[in-house]
Amino acid sequence: MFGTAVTAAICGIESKRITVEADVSDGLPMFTMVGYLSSEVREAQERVRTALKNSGFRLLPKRVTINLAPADIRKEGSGFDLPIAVAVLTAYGYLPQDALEGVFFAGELSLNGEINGIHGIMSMAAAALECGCHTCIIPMANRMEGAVIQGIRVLGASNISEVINFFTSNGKLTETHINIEEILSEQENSYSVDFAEIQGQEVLRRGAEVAVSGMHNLLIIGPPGVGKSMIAQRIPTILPPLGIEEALEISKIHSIAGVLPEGKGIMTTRPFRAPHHTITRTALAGGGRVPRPGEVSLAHHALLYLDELPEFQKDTLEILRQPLEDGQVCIARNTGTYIFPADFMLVASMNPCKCGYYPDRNRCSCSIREVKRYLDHISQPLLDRMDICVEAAPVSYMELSSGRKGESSADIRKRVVKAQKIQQKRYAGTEVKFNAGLKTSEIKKYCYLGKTEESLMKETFEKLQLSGRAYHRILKVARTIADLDEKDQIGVLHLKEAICYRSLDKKYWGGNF
Amino acid sequence: MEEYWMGICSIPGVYQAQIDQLIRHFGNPKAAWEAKETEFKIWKEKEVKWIDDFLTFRKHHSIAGVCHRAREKGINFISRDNESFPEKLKNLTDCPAGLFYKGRLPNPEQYSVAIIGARQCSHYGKVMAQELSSAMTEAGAQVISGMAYGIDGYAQMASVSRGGDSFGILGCGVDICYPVENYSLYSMLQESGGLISEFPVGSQPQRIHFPMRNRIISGLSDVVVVVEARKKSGSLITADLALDQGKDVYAVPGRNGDVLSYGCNHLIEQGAGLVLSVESLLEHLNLLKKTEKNREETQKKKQLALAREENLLYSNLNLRPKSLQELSEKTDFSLPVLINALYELERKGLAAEISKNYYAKLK
Repeated sequence: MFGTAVTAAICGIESKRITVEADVSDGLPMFTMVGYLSSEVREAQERVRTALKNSGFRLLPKRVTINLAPADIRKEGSGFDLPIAVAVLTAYGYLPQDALEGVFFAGELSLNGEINGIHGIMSMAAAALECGCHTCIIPMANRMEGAVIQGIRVLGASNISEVINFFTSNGKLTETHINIEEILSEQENSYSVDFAEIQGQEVLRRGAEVAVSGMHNLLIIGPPGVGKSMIAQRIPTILPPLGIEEALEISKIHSIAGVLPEGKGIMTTRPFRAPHHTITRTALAGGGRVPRPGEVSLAHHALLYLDELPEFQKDTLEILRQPLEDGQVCIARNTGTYIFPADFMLVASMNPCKCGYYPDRNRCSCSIREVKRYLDHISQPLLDRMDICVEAAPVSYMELSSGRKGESSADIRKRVVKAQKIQQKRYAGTEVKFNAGLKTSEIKKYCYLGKTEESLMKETFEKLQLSGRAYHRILKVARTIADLDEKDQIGVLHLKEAICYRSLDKKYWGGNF
Repeated sequence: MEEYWMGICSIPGVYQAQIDQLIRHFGNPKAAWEAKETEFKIWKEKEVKWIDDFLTFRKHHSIAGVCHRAREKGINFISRDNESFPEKLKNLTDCPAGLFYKGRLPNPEQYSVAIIGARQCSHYGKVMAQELSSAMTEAGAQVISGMAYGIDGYAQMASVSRGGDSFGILGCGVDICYPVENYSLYSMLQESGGLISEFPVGSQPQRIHFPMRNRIISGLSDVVVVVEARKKSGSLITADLALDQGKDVYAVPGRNGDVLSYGCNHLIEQGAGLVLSVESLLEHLNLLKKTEKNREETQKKKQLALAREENLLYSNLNLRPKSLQELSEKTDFSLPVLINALYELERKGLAAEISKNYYAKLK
């Protein structure tokens, strides 16, 4: 007897259709599984056999052969338990094969027959829809995730008997529907933090606003305890509200990594990823024998915050260069190349020196060499990608005790959204999305300077001995400031402000003659 | 005899105190160099290490070789027996046996000022060192210092770039540039001024060298000005030495609580001269020329040319670097206005960005 069931295997963030075939024939009693399986998939036979026994099915001692086709895709994860069990039951004749037509299965089995949740259901459900299935039977725990994919019936099952009853005796499974738009609009402002909670720090606030408006990467320098992390945590709250497509993309990645918020099928807010500085290269960029998304991908369409930037391993930071440039991470394995989206805004913070108080010489006694060495932890290429660099200074007692409330995130966000709309209009029909993404050739076209502005830039260029790259970065940031100001033409004031935010120059760091 | 002086001064591990012992015993360096090994018995019995250094060096090097190697590197030598040896040093009880130098020795006719201070100096110290040094140079004095990081380097650079003469007294051989970051200064000093050291050619900068070289700094100068010094600072050693040598000591005051000015304030408490302003110091030293008037005039001009915001901002700036944040709180300007005013002040040379988004007055 022969039976099949449809499931999927995760490759990167996409899933590929897998057919589980089971054959039961006479011969020496044994249970064989083939099809390029990893050890957790191979272990499925014990779980499936025991789960079926404990659910009341007697499997006669026969020769059982399982094949997961196509055989050239490496199968990983525990989601194959349920489809294997279904295929075996079909082969034994407990289930009618034609009832399984167009039904997709995924889930992990417990020894007592219960179905446990797995990672990546959203991507699998999308694959199921793509290959023409009309129904998805997935673990109860993941039913919200699955329901995010519209156009397919999503049924949550909590144990194997329920699934069997569904096919044989018209049993019921929990059908789940969600309305993404409704959820998104309901939860639009559900961040637990707000810019209003920050007193003072006008410079840093403004820096963050400009950075977000043009999606520029931001570097915050300042002594410990002045609120660098506080500001960074609040930056997602001024990013524009999530669109449906963005939300789906983010949710898909989080689903694969298994970090979707409990009981929710979709990410309703932009994530704030702040990995600790001991993070490894693999954890940051994604990877592993079977590549999983790293922090950069989890920060897709949102914010990656690296606190204490110089404390990160140097080679870990260098990994960031590709995603910062291309907006994706490309991981090559002998089983294929996996692409994870990683279009994020990088916010980093650091102390100006080892002790944290330079240039306040009353508190900092680092030698100039030590100050320079501290900065040397960050390579120039990475520093070059930080368009905006602002200082975070201690707030005075007067400012703190004044009780003055800062501007709320909602107000700042309005301006940001406006500035981003201007950019979208300007770059319609091109690959560029935000000012930060402008290539050198496009800068000339979009960042046109008048005569006065030109001479100002020339003067600054010579005075500060800017590099060509630094010059272009200033222009890009000036473009964003002009957009915030709703001006078509970059003005002198915009340029001066952009110059003020320019990235720090190692040459002059620590003072010289 | 000069060659033998040079030979005896070129031995690593044998310093002025040891050379004095040899000279006391043998009468002159030639006798010491050529004496039989048995004659060193008194030191051998005491088992001092340096005498082995001396004997081994003597065995492996010839006087001619030592001289030749120094000359190849463009290094001159002068012994304390030479009549051109700086008169001011000859009076010291611990007068160096000889000096290696590149460039020139200080002009004995010219007034000499030592400007010294902390390596890790603040912007205030930097500006004061530069101002004092420039004014002294314009008044015709030569600036003597230790070519170190911080105050020393800033003072000497200011002097040299104003066309003055400056002399760097090193704690290593004169062929070594320490710290390497000051290489441009090191090469400029060879042209306009000199690099002077009592330590043998090729000596690495060692901890014990620096207090020793400080006596030469104070010895060569007529007055010592300390710009910034911590509680325990090498500059204070120099000041003490200067007092022992009967030189005047001046100190630039700092605020109460400024860690970097503790040493200076302490000196003032003990009776050192107080540098109220560059002009007052010049007046004290009888160096005042026309410079004062010019200064006042230029300052007036500057104030006239400033816009209202710039003026208000300028009055909020001082020599302690202030952050953009602090300035925005103090002035209550909107950020663009503040940045604009800062930019203009920077352009006019009245303010400078000391560190990322930290600004200070320049003059």
